[in-house]
Formats: sequence, structure tokens, C-alpha cells
Amino acid sequence: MNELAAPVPRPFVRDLDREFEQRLAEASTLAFRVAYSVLRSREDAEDVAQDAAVRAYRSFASLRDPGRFRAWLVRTAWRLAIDRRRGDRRRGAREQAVAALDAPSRTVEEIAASRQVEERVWRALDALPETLRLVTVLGAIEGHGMREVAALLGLPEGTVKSRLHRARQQLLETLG
Amino acid sequence: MKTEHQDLDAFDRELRALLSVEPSVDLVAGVRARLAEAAPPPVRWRVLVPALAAGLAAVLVARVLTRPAPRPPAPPRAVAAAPRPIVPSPAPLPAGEPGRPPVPPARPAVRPPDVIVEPGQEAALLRFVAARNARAVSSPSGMAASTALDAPLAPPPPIEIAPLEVPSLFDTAGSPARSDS
Repeated sequence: MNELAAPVPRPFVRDLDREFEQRLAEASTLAFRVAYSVLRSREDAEDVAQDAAVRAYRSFASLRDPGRFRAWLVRTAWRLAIDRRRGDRRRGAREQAVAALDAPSRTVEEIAASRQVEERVWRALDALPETLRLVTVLGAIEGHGMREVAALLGLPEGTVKSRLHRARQQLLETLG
Repeated sequence: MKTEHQDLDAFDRELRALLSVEPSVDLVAGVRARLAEAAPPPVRWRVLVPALAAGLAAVLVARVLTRPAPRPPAPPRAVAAAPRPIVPSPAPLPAGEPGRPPVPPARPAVRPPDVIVEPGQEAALLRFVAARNARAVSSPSGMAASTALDAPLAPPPPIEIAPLEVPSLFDTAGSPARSDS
């Protein structure tokens, strides 16, 4: 909001707010999912996504480009989620209780089998280094291609391709 | 090789499914609420913080500039030559109880010097000091400056010293005889 702090005509401020809401509507789900991939809790992921959005609003004058806003929001949500996960050891138990309530129609065996698969996937993802984990997550969300992941991370496409290849090699070792 | 690909494909499918969660419809509304309840707009801080810093710096500079320079040590002060009122000597110590040493009275912080006065002249001296303090009497001639400071000095009076009479060592009369040996 530093850039917004200077006295500006009200119509201009209203335009900025409208533009911000538009950008947020386009990118908030992506930020939420990125945060969820780290925290695995809807509540915590929404909190982090909102926190990232508030920060984005404060710097919005320099983030008016849609692509830039989206990338900034995703990276900020990822960083905030990583920080929160380090400080929250009770997250796992809370999310398990919520997941059990979400699927009341399934049998106990189905829930247990699903939980096993889920645990296996999260464990394999957690075993990846942070840089490889982020490209894997972004590639899995919304069917992003290599070019989109590169744009979100501000990296060359070749770097993303190399990271994805290394991530898959490590995943094979973990899953095998 | 085929199994590895199957494992990775299964992993991708599962991960996609796990990450296809939808946020609640209140996500954007929550952002609006947070922005609305945010503390005072930063414009105030952008003005207040530099102003407070400048004020603090000005106060510090003013204090440094107005601090008095360290004084040199003061010269020893002349002791006042005016006569002090005579303080009667303290009463004799009361006799202590038998078996106990007498308890001395508390000493005053500054004790005036004792003045020895001849018996019978104390009342006259007290009257003189009182009149002197009231400037009712002029200074005695011996206490006042008799000459102006710029007057030429009178030659000192001659000192009359009687010549010494030294008796002769070789007075024969009554002196023991010297032996030449």
C-alpha cells in the first residue's frame, strides 16, 4: 500500500480497488491450492491465501500486470505456507478429523484405503527438496504446462524442465 | 519400466485430485474484511515516523548544544575574617548512672572555635562583639588600615641594638695560667 499512500484522486483509488479484486478473483484459487499442498488444511490454506492477498494489495501498484500479480501471489502463498507449517505441529491431527467428517458416506475400509494412498502421495511429495516440490505442485494444479510453471516462478523453461525431470526421478525412488 | 510409469501416472492422478480442492466462497470476502479492518492507513505512518525521528534528532542536538561547558576547579575561598558570635561552651556532661559510662551528647556538625576569655571580661567582650556586629563602634585603630595603599612607605625606624660586650679570653686576672708545654 506504500504506493497507494500518496494522495490520489478517489476515482483512481476506486479503479485500483476494482482492478485488484479482478486480479484476486483470477488468482486466489491457485494461491489457495498452493498453500493447501503445503498445509493440507482448508482453513489454514485459506488463511494463508488471504494473508498473501492482503500483502499483494499493499504492493498492488507494482503488480498491476496480471501475469506478474499471479506469480507474486503464488510465490508469497507458498512461502507463507512453508513458514506456517514449520510453526504448526498440530496441523496433521486437525486435518485428519476434518477429512473424516467430509466423507460420511464411505465405509471405514474405503476411508482407510483412501487415507493410505493420500498419505503415500504426501509423503513422496514431502521427500522432495523445496524447489522440486514447487514445480511438481504447480504442474499438478490446473494442468499447468512447462511454460506456465516457468512464468509463475519467473524461471527459464529449461530450468523448470530440468527440475521436473529431477523431481520425477526422486519420486520414482520414493514410490518404488 | 512400465511399472515405474504406472507409479508416476498414479502419483500424478492422485496429486491432481488432492490439489483440486476448492476454497470457500468467503475467500475474497475475507480479504476485503482484512483490508477493511487493517490499522490506520500507512500514509499517516509515512508522515509521522519521519516527523518523530526529526523531532527526536532536534531535541538531541539542542541538548548537546545547550549543555554547559565543564567549569575549571573553583579557587579556594577566603575565610571570612569577620568575628563570629561567641557561643557559650557546652554544659558539662551529666554524670552517668553508676555502673554505666556517661553518654556523650550528639556533636554538632560544625563546632565554632573556643574563645578563651579572661574571667570577668566575658560580658564586656560580648557587648563589644554585639556592637561591632551592629556597626555601632568604629574599628580599633589597630584593626583598620592606617595608610592608603598608594602612599609612599615610611622608612623603617632604626633598630637600636646595644653593642655586645665580649669579655677577653686572655684576661690574666683570675684566669688559669697557660702552660707552654
